Amino acid sequence: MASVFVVDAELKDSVLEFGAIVDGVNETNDFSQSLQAHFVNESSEISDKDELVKTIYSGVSNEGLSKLSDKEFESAFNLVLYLVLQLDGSKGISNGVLIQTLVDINPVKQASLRDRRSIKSTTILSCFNTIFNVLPANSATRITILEKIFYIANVSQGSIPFKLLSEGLGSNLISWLTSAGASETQIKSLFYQFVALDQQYSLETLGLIKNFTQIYTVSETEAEQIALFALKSETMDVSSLFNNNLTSTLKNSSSSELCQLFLSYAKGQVIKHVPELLELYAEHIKSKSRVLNLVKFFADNEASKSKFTYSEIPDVVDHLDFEILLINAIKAGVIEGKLNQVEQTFYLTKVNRFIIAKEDNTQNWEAVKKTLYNWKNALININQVVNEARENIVQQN
Amino acid sequence: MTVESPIMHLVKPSVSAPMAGTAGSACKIKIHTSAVLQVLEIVSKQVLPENKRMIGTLLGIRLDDGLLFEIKDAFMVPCNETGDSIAIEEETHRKLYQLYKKAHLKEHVLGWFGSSEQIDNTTALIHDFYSHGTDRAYPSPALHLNVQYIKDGEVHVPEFTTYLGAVIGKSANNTQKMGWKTVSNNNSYVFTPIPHAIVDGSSTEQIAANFLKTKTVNVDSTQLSLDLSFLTTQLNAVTDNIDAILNRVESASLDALQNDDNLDLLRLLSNSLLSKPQILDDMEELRRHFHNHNQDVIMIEYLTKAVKEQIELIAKATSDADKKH
Repeated sequence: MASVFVVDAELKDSVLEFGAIVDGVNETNDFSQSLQAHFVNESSEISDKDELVKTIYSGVSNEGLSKLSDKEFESAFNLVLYLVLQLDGSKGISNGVLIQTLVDINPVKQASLRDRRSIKSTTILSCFNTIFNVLPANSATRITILEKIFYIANVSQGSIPFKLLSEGLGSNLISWLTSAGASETQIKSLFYQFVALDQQYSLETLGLIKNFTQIYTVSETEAEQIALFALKSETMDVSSLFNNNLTSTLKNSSSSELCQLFLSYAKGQVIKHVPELLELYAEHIKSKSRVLNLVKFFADNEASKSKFTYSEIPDVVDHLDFEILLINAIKAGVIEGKLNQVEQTFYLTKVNRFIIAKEDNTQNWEAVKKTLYNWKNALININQVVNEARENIVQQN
Repeated sequence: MTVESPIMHLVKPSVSAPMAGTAGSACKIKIHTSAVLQVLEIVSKQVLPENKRMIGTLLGIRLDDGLLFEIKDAFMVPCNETGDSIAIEEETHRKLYQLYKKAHLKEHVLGWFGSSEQIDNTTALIHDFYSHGTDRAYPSPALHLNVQYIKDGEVHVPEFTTYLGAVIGKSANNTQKMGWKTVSNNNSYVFTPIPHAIVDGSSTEQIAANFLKTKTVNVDSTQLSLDLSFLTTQLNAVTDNIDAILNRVESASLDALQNDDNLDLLRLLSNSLLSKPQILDDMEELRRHFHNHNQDVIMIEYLTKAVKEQIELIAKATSDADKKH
């Protein structure tokens, strides 16, 4: 399953090939000669393996690789990785020289058009990817690599789209960290670092947070981080995050303004004031909370009726404003229905309910049971009609 | 649904091919079930104890940006392995591919498959063969699909792994260019695993497969009554599922209903079920709609049959007239 190196050359040839690459960049032949000195009398026998490894490391770290172009870098790095694995085994990776070199080479500024051949952050990411796949699943170095990947994504000023990380790491992160023997503190720390990288506050990351908090307990600081993420997100209905662990922490954090705001928001209450920390997102949060408040009204009254006139809905002052609110709710997928502007009515067909742990959900269970029985009876009716039609056809034949 | 994978794949590795495509993005590989069955059928001929190497060509479509490969079919290519050397029947590969290409104009050679226990120099040699030359994956990078089902001389459940051969050493400097005398052999690769997804056929194929599974084909009935029987089966299946959910909900204790899994179920049901099946409650209306629909279908079938009979009659009359003259 892991990455496999297949090299059709003797080890000495590969060592000298690396020497030629570094010398080619530096326009000397000093490095090749220093490598050659580690072989006994021009043969393939290595005089001192440890010293040879040290010389290779010196070629890597002394700006040997950083001057290569983006296209040349990865293949040269693969060669170094192969040599280190052959000479020093996985110990050669765990000592951190190669990992640190990659971090040092990673560009922190976006390359100008003149430097378009220079090494890119995604190439560094690809090198980390190869190292990760070479290591066994229980290697603790895998934890370091994940830390460095997050560091690089963080300092690379958006040159690494979060989608790359979420698709490649998202669903596997916890299982990899667990297999590598990471402690609970390390797992939590890395997971929240990963979440912080998502500047789009996407639905996929919300799903990962939900799965994570179902397994691991949530501290007040972590709950606040989740609250900030969810409130900034474009996703309106975030009640799916409210599992037993998160809800307990939010309910116990009565002193935290942010936690209480988040709880009120998820229950569909209109938010009129937001803390300073969220001032930039104030309008966004207020408008989301208005939509959720409307959804809550429909969910509470849906059992008794499905056709609502504008006058029946509370806080409708401006009809145009209300219609925009309805359309936003339909766009967000929290309600479904038909709007009749002429008659000023809304015909509701489906509405999301806010299911929150540690709350009384009996009514919601009853509503689901009732709907399921309705569907069952309707299906029996359809089956009867279908059977009648089939019998008619058979008789006609 | 996301599946946990032991492989990390963030970015497509650097590969040596003129049409390697966009770097800096992840690569996706889809394998169609028909291709999986084809590959399994071929590699199962690797008879123990000789353990003879079986290889073949993977066919399908790829995007120009080099980020998506879709394996749709495969065929076997005979090879003869003696010690470290291997000979591939290149002519057979070429003829089979050209034959395939006649029926599938938009498909290409994507790479090759094998079933070795470990990746070694011979793997690199075969990969090199598929990476260069006409009627092969060139100018795009070649894929390698390894189906491992023999471990330590025993047969196990097949394990599929797809690889791209990343470059190693100086070869990237000599990236092949189109034109004369530009081909250089490079048998050194980092076989980098790339996650793949085995994709099912279309929904129509699935319906047909389910229908075949029932093994009760009533040849005397008309097409419409067959369709109706299928509809009844599906309705019964949905009703059984509803019963199963209701049983689960009704048998769970109040505490159990508050655990995270049940809350997820409640969320899913509350947010995905339409509150009321409005039209479906009105039996008379439903019956009328369904009857009208059936009458339409019968009318179309009748007209089709009439037109078909007329065409056959004209054909027969023409041929009789020709005979008389």
